[in-house]
Amino acid sequence: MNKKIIIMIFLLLVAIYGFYKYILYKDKIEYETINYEFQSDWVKEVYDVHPNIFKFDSNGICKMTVEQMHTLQNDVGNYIEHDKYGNMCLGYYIVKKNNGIIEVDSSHICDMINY
Amino acid sequence: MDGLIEGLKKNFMYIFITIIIIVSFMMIYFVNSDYNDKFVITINDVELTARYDSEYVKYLLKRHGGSNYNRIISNNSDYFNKIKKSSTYILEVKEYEAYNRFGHRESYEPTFNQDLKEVFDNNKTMMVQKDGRIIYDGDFKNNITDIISENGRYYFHVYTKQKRSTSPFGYSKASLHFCFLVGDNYE
Repeated sequence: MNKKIIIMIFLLLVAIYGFYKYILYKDKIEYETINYEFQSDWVKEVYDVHPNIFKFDSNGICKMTVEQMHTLQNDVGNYIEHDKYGNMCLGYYIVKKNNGIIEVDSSHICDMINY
Repeated sequence: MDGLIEGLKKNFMYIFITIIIIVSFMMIYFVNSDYNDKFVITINDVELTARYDSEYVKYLLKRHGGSNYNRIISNNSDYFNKIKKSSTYILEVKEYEAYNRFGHRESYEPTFNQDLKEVFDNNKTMMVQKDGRIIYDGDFKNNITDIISENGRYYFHVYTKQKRSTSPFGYSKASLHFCFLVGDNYE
């Protein structure tokens, strides 16, 4: 019987340790994941409210930094993503306008730009 | 009948031991939390907005304390730090522990009436990135003039580690992340 209890406690401790490592792993993944889709949706939301801040060139392309997007409009709130080091993602968005419909490329928001 | 009661007793004992172990784990991991301190970061007396992440071991197991900004963001422009071009750049990071009116330690809350006690930590380290490269990695220093050699955006990371618990495994780490633009009107 004692052997059974020892085995049971051992299995339980292994399960708890596995659960603990899983929580840490999930935390790490969550920390390092950049939600580009959410950022693109936010830019579309800003466009719906403030279309005049987007200046498109002759090809229908507008490049705006994260800073511009936050400061030119100040009422559609959003969080700023960070990369795996913890750096604030202050890169830029590329917004394409085609027949009145916009597409947003957020893949450059974590680029380290000097402006 | 006696055998049945004996079997029930054994099962009850197993279940009881299992519950004790699980509850102990939950108490150790989820109930205890660490305290977030206040951080005031300045460069040439200009206060900066930073994000800080915390990680701690209260007794045995590691836990992340989440991310917070070091000050209240009242306007979107508060996120973006800018520093005027200068011949010298002095970085100061001040840390304060927060206590309530009964003298008990608690996490810093900007809207609460708390007593702040400065922490003097000489074991900070620092890492700096620019243009995707690591340009400094070493001990924390106040005079960062040699790091800021040109205009542009610098990404700073300051790491603190303190022993705050009686546990031999206990520690509390805070990672401060902030970036700022030196000079303007260039690319």
